Amino acid sequence: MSDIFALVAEHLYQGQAEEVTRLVTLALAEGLKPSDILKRGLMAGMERVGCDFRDGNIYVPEVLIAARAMHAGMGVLRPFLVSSDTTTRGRVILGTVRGDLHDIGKNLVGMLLESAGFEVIDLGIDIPPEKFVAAVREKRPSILGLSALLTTTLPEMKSTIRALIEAGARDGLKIMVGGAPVTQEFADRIGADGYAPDAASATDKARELLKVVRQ
Amino acid sequence: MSAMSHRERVLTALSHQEPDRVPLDLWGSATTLNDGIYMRLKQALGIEGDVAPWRQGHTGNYYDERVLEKLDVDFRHVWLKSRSDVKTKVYPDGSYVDEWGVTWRPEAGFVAVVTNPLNGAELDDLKSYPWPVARAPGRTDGLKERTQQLRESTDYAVEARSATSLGLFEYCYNLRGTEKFMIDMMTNKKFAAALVDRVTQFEFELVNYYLDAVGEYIDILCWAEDFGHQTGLLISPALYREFFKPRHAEIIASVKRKAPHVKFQFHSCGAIRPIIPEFIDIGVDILQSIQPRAKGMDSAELKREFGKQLTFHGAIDIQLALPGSLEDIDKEVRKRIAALAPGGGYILAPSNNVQDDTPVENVIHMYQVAKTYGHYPIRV
Repeated sequence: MSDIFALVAEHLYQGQAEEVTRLVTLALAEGLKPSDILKRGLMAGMERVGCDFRDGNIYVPEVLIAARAMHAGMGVLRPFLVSSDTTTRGRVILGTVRGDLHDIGKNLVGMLLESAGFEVIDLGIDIPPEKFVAAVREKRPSILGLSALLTTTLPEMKSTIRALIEAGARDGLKIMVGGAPVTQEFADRIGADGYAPDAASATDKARELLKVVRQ
Repeated sequence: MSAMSHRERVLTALSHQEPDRVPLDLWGSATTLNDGIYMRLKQALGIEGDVAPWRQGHTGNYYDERVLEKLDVDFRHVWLKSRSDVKTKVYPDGSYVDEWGVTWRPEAGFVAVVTNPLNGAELDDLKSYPWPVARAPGRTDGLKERTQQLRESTDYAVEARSATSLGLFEYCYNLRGTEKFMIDMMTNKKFAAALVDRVTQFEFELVNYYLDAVGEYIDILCWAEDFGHQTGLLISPALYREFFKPRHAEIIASVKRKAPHVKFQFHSCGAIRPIIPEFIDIGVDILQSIQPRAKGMDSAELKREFGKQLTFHGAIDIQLALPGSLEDIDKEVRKRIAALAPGGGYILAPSNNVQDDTPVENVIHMYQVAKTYGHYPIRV
């Protein structure tokens, strides 16, 4: 029976949404625990996707279809999960900073974080500091992730952190930054809590920041 | 050795022999000065009077031969104009719609795509989509005369900028949406192939139309698109071979048939080492960018592995070195010349477009030291 978990993971890795849906349905019919199907099947598959992407063995298209297969599997599984199964590792708000319209990297981070059990709220692109502040106050995330692709929009990361401090919303929040022009040195300089060079490392960093034990 | 002409210098380098010094290029495809740095450089070089922009809506919209003369660049460049029978629609916020039907919006000194008109399309919709027209009025106005004049009345090497500013992959994902097109390439291959074919059809016609005007007068034809990012490829080598290699091959073969003396220069940003053999396979003569800080793009290694089959163009790091100190630039220029110049087959240029946050004196210094250190035999 443990074979089914491995099969789910493998077909998810291959981006085969229909196969994943079929196998998840089968697994449920055989009475397997939904939380096991989630963790040992779907999440295990996406974990491997994240690692291989980080290591350069697969590329963006493969990650995208795997994420799609994950969604398809979750579509079947979700009604069977009880709230304890889906207690999230934490709530993450993501956004690309003001003036910047790029989002693929941010979207990949969101996909991998979700697959790792985080709740992800993606505000989108071109987000001014005020909007980040409002979202943090309203949704009270554990992590705020800021993305930028242009050197000219990097300063907006600093502005956003300043705005959060001024609004009294900085305490208790972990702030992560990422994007092609971002460096660890820059992240340290602007007072961010974490930096990761790619989507998979971002998931590891998020776990580390919240001191979550990997299962 | 008596001083070579600019063109002799370039042709010698292209034939993998050592000229008097390493040829210098600027303002070809993907080695443009962005508008801000151009304006400041013009001022710093004491150049008075303005030139009109040759295009609009890009990050580098000017071309000024006076700058090239001051920096002693070995090339002059030609390009296709926009079609004159259709006016580009520009919105109050600076957004505009290109001839593919894609809307672009200015963002922080850059421009970004904001609509993907084929995002919801089915296969049949491709037939009725209003595709751009290659042979349209205006594109080649004055082009033949200008190119002929450059060839016959100057001793510069003549480089034709790419027919379009982007390539097959980019036009496909601009039309379809990046994520959607990438998923199409994996799970909706029929659609993806039909889309690439249709884009290729336009490019093929346009390149031929372009060569009808300039083929006999040019030394290099550029092509510009991107398959790599800082640490890897955007798509797998297998997907490149499936969707783009045969179509690139078609275009290059056509160029070689039509203008056998012309060298084909292929630009790609990023970490593209795994697909360099594919480019060699389809007849690319010059590889442009050689982005030095991208993974796997070590200049000396690339020269060792591919130096006999390819001329390298670019390689001067614009990410850290060019915006850095004058010493950084010295080091960078020496490093690239030492790695790439021996035996010829190297044309020195920025690895990518020169960004607005580059200090003006750095650009001037780069070209000065490139001349100094680039003398053959190479002793840096």
